[in-house]
Amino acid sequence: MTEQRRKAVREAGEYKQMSVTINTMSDDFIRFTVDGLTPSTANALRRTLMDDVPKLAIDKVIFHHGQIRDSEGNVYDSSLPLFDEIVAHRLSLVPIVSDLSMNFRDNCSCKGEGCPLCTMTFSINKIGSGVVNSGDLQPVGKSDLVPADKEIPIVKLGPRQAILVTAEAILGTGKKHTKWQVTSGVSYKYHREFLVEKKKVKNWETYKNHCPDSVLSENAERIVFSDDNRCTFLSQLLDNPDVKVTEDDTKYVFQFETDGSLKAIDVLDYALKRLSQRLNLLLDSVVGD
Amino acid sequence: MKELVEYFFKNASVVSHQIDSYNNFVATIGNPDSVMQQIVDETKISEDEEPGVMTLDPTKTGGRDIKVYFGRVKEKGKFVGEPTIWVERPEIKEASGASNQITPTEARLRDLNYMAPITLRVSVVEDGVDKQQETLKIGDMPVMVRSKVCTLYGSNLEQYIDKNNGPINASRREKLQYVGEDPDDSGGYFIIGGSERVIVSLEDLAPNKILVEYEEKYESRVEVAKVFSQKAGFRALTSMEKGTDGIINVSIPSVAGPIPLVILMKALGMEKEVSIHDSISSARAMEPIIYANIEESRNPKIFPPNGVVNHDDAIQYLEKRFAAGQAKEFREKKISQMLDRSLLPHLGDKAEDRIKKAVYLGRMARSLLELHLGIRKEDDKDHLANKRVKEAGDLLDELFRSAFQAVMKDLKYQLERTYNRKKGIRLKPAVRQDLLTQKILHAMATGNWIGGRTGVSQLLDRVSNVSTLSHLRRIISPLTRSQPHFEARDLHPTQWGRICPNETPEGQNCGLVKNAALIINVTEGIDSQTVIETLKGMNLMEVLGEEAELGRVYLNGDLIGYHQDPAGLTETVREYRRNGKLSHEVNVRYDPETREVIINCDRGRIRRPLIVVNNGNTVMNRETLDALSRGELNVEDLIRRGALEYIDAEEEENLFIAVYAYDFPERCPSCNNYLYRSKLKWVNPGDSRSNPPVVLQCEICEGTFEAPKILSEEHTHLEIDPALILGVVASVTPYPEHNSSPRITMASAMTKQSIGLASTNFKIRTDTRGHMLHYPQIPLVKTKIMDFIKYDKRPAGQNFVVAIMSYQGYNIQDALVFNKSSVERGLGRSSFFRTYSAEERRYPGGQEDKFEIPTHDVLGARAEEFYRNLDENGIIFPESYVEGSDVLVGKTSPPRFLEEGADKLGPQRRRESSITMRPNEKGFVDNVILTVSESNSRVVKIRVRSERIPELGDKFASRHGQKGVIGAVVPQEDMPFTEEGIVPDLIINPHAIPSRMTVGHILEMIGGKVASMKGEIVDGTIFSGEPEKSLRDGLLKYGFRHSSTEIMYDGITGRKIEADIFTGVIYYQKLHHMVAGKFHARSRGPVQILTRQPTEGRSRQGGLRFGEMERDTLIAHGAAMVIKDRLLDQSDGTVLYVCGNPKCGHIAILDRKRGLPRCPVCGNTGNIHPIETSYAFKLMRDELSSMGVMMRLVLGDLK
Repeated sequence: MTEQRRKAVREAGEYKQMSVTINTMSDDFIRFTVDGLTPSTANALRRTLMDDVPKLAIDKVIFHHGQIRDSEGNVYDSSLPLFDEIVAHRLSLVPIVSDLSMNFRDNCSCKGEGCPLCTMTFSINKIGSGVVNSGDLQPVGKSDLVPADKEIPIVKLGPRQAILVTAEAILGTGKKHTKWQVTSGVSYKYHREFLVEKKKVKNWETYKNHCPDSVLSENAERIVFSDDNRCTFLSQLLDNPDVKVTEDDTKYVFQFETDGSLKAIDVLDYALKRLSQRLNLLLDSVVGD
Repeated sequence: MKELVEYFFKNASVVSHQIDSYNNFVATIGNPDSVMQQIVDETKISEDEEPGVMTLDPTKTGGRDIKVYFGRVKEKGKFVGEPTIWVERPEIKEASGASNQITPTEARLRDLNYMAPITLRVSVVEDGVDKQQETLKIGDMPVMVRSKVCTLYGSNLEQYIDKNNGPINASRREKLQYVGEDPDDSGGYFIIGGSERVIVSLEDLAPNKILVEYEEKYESRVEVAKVFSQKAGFRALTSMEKGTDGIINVSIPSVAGPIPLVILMKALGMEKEVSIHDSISSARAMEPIIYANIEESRNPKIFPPNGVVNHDDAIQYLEKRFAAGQAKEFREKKISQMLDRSLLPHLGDKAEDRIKKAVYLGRMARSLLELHLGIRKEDDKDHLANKRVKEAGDLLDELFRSAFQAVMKDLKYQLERTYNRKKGIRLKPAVRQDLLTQKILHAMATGNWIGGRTGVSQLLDRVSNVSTLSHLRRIISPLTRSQPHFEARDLHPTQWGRICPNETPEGQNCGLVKNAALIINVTEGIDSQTVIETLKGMNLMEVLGEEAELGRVYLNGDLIGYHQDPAGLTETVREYRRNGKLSHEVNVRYDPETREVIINCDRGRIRRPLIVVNNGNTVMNRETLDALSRGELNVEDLIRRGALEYIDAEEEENLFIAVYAYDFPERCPSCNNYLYRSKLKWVNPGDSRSNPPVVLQCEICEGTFEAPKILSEEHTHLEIDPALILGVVASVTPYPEHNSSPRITMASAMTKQSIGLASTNFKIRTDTRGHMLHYPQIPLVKTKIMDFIKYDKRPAGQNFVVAIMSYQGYNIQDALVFNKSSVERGLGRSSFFRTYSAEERRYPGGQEDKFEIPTHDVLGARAEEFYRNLDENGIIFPESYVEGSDVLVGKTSPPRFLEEGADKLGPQRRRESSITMRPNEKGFVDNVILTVSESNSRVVKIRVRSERIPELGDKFASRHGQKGVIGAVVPQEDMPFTEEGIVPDLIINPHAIPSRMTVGHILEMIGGKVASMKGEIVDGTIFSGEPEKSLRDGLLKYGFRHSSTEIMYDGITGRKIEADIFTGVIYYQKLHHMVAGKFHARSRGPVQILTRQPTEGRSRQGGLRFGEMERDTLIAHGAAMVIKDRLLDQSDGTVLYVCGNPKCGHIAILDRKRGLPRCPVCGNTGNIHPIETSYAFKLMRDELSSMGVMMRLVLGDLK
């Protein structure tokens, strides 16, 4: 499809001017307000954030069965207190710092066989007794792609027990399995205003004291709050019949966390790009050439 | 007095009643008063012999008088001396001949019986000369796990570990783990053939008690008095009935037809009619009836020739009626059998006991007439005072009694048979140990007890820890399940605090299968003679005759005397008991209406503990309670001090029990927190000041304040905690007092099916089926009782975030909508284990099975790839993946018929008899255990594990009887979400709530929500949990709305959901009904050999029956070909070749020589037709012909 035609299609729809404000942001958390959205577009972004942002997660674990020897020749038992499938499942959920420049395995040059371009290999080699943590996953290859949290306990080894596993992490998206879900607590809310008549609501001041940042405007008779910054104390106003609550379903406050495998802003960036990419894909397939 | 409850469970386990009962039964060297010893003392080898001694027949021993004493000697009516029988430690006799002490784990793994040898000490007296004593092993006794003979019992375990070079200095828990045991396992069960079996307690009508009631007979109401007379395992029902004509008749077991009361009393030796009258009469109104009865017996028209006047007449009448036409000797024997054995055996079986029986019959008649005259009310059969519970010890008593009798009788026979003039008797080889062992073992292994009772011992339920505990505390009623017995099924007021009001199955066993309440005590029974002695010291008057102003005194249902001041006597008895002058097992009641004092000290009464209240204050005080918490005192000390006592249902009728001692304000006066009983401490119970106020302490702020007192002067007792009315399982539900009662019953049934961590030694257990939840959690809303049953250590469920709303119709009709991401993160994951077992069995003739990879020459050997996972010994490698019909153990068996055809058919081949996986299961080999059985043949046990991830159709339930199956597993992004980004794990339908009224479910959801925010567990104990108001305040505090609802957005459209959605966190249990173990379909598959119809059942890959009603639908549709297809083509359709000769109609055969079909009967070869018919029809034809009926098939064309 030519760029011209694409432009023509875009102009056919009605677009409202969008504005984006980032309210709070850290490495693994972001809250931002978007004005000028419809619920469906907001939801599309939310779903993309959950489903369609790739990350590395362990997808294959190879256990060594049989005796394990340490450097001094002591013999350890490979049977663990937890079953192999539980250990594998726990390993799969460990967040791993991800590199999005890696290939998805099914469209990698290795044709799905696994290669350094699409696969990150880790190994655990630990003898008991002691707790095996996510930090014991030793990367083979790129040393920067390590578990985002090193303190996640995997399995507790008893005396004379040892673990020797090889684990392969590949890129994937939350659509297929939650282990590839980068974000958690993804949500948005409509912009909401509480119009409080000071005469009717006697304890308006407690709300103000609890949530000083939530006051949108105030005069002698009335005070207007917004719970957009999630000051939970305001939830009580919802049940107060004397408070006028107004909601705006074109203005959305989003927030989400990441599990540490990617930075929140990168996730948002990727998701926005991915969304338009997919919409274009749809457009292409609908309009055709 | 919640702190008191903790001390009950500090030392004793929840199943201590089972263990106590067994300990009381089992004979040990240190315990001469065991029930086993009593049985030995009382056992008579033959009817006319003294108990405890065996006299050999002099004609068989060359005229020598040989006596073998096995019981103890009797002194002053009591057996005294050293015990003559005792049970040693559990051991196994290996095939090598060596005996080794075993642990329960070894018994479980090796399919052994956990039994200990019984040793009997006998002394032989020959011609009056004492020979030396001998100890004999007479058999084996099953050992209850954790009883005092068990290897795991305190000092026994130390010795065992010491002997086997175990960790001597380890803690007790570590030692238990060393022997492969779960340290928190309760014990209380037996191990028979490697499987754990429980002896379930039995509830029965109280023996030796006169019960009067009305009975409907021939359209009229008659008064009946009944006694279940029981002595030494023998039970006989004597009943007395007053007809409409006023004549009283007695029915005796094993005697046909009723006997007139007066005649029977005369026959028993009560000759004087005055004494008959006196023994019955207690009121003027009775006189005419008594006279009528006496007159009747004298009537010569009814009892010719002269009526029954004296003792001889009566005996003659009985002889004539029951032994007419027999020799004098037999007549006498028959009558004495009747009077001494069948009639009221508990009063004795000798001629001198007859007068006692006459008096007793008089008493029965009196009760009967009192009922008739309205002086006495009908006895309540369902009143717990009229019931007794038989526990493991009592049931083993019955079993051991008959087995011991059998082995001793056999011993006598063997001794007489093998008597040798020179060598004398040789005891040791004459004992047939197997007789006793096998008799007990057979009953234990099958549950078929003597007396024809079935289901007495049951396979222990190991689904979850609570189900195990509940099974060990079960009490079943022997009433037949099919009859209605409405009254027996009803909850009776006397069950309060003794039997759980909610935990009972639904359906046919409802109300008949019961479970014990949390703290109960079942009496062991004490010697009634000592009680009588004490009573005599209280001016008890001997049985003289009825005097109106005197009160009757009964002990265990026997009239033992009269007393001037019955009410005072009752008080004195109680005082004596509290002072320790009488055993605490004695319970007493005074009935002011009949002026009767009823004292009980027999076995099997269910009792419950109550706090003694004196002058409106508890006897127990703060110092005692503090001493308890410091461990200086225990519960038994409280009983000894008269501060606490066990009350049976009889005595409770007299008491006035306060449920609570005090009331309390809604909020704490000092810290303003909401108050509830779990957070209150009574500072000054038993305050000795006059009229002291109740001082309470708030456990949140430790401030004290005064509270209104409920306890008054009239109260005699105080409830320990009303929460104790529930059983173990019902106590797991939080806030049950807010639910409708049937829902708690359903919740109890489901809690027993929930999977969790059933035991910590699951890795070395070899149960045929087992489940384990991967991430079990402690519930966020807990009950106090959970601490006592160690629910925290063996949880069975997870805390789910739940929203109550509809979801696209995927949760209608109690379906559940699960969050796919939650499932992928491990929610509700479990493992399923199945153990397969194989043994190298030995056959007669030296042949045996062999574990190996079958070679090609083995009959029925499979292709090589089926054996690829096996090692060279034919056993599978651990952690290999196995599925449908894969071989786990390669095994070959010797040929079936050794002798026949060995030469004709060439060399006999061994048969393949491998153990394979079940056809529709798969998994990983978890554990391979190789051991040897008792007969020294190799046994291999293979446990296969498979992961069970929640899927469509799996069953889950909350603790409020709210069950459901998964209707959809929805991706997280499609689920509704809150503004905080919370996505529920589970969506349940709002219709599940209003009609079922499970308010507890709602409260738990709120409680769980508060608990997860607060980081503290919420107490939801019945009657004393955190109140709703407090929870709602908590919601506000943590930024939720008062209603616990939240604004949610639809995950599919992205729009806000108009309604506010109620959300919360609640404990859900995964039940062991999972689709993976149930789904089944068949297109083609195996058929039965006999009928050639498809097999039945999932395990046999069977077909789904196309039954009559299904057939009817096709008839209605006229779909004839479909019927034929289902019933013939897809079932057992066969083609028969039938002789078309109309005079013949037999089935033709294929003549091999000529290669064409021929009728073997008429020889016709041309006129033979193939007929399509069902194989079942052919079978019927064959069966009829085997009976000599010839079915001819006459063929004709279709018209």
